[in-house]
Amino acid sequence: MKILTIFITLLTALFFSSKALFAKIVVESTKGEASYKAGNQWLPLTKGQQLMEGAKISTGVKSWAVLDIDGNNVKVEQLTTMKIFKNQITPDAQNTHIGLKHGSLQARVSKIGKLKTSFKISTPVATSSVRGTEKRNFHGAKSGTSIKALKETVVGENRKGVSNTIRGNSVFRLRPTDPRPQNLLNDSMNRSFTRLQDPNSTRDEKNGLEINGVNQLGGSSDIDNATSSQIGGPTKINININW
Amino acid sequence: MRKQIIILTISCILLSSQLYGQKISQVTFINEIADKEQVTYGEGIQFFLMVIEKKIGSFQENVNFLNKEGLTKGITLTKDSPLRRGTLSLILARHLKLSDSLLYNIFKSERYAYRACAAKEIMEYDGSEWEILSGGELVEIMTKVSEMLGGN
Repeated sequence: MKILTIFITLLTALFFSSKALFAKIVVESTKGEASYKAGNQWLPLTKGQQLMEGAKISTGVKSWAVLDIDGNNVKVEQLTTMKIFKNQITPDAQNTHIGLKHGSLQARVSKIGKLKTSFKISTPVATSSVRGTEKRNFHGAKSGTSIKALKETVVGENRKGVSNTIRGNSVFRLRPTDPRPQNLLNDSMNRSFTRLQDPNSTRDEKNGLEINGVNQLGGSSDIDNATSSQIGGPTKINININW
Repeated sequence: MRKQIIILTISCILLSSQLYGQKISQVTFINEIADKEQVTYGEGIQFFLMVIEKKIGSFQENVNFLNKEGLTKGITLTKDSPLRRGTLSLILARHLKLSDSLLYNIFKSERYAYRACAAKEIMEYDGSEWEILSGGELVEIMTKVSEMLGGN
């Protein structure tokens, strides 16, 4: 009897200790049509469901799913398809790698003591990695990848390993056709300054404007007029319509 | 006892088959579309109706609904016609009532509807209204439209 008790205790202890080392992916909550792929079929995700490495998840319109990946929180936003490439945990390291095909993911990655954490989200054009922070990744076939750090810092890199550190208002944007990411402060500049460039400008003209900060197509008086209209003063505007 | 076990087994089988047979048409449709090199007008308007949360019917029923809403005025495409960026822009600009673009307000054409959509960051500037949309681009556009309409 005593031997049996010891054996059961040992077995239970072994079970719980080994379970702590198993990587766990659990569905925390869902809304609308959130599904996972089983064979050739998309089946509905349910709260509390456990997923394995290699799981493919997709959401419909106005739908989402929240996953708990070993204490890290990932929100799969609407119209997103993603796959969990890797999720491994050892006593001293945690390694998670997610592939984002299209849509948005919002990830909150926890710092767990001295555990070496690697949490990567890859799209067809870029990869972002974080530790102890929060980020939002978006990928679209035309506009490419955008990465924003919601807390602290995130590292975004292109497929050739050229990386940028993203923090605060900076946004990493990389189009599928571009070899390198855009200026990290483009979004802030667009919000803060009047756009003086012609929307029909070529890519080279837009790049020139970004670098030089002046409208190379018109005279300086055009810029002054447009700027003064933004600060509320009276201004004379000439509109030329060509078709 | 045996009877109870049989009833329980049958119930379990029926319940699980019902669960697995549940149709996730939206996710299946979106993932099929995303991999296409070109999308059709029929697929485009079906996706649009999903995003604006309207009932999806046959192609003709979808067209009739959009006609009634005044969104497809002047568009006479068939179900399998390739969907061009300009055509979708016009439907979206009408639905979202985009009015920031002076030239779109004057001409109401596909060309300026596309410019108005690009200005709203629903579409990218580089390209033409004549280009046929790929599945990936359609998914991206619809994601942005859904976000504008308060999705997520």
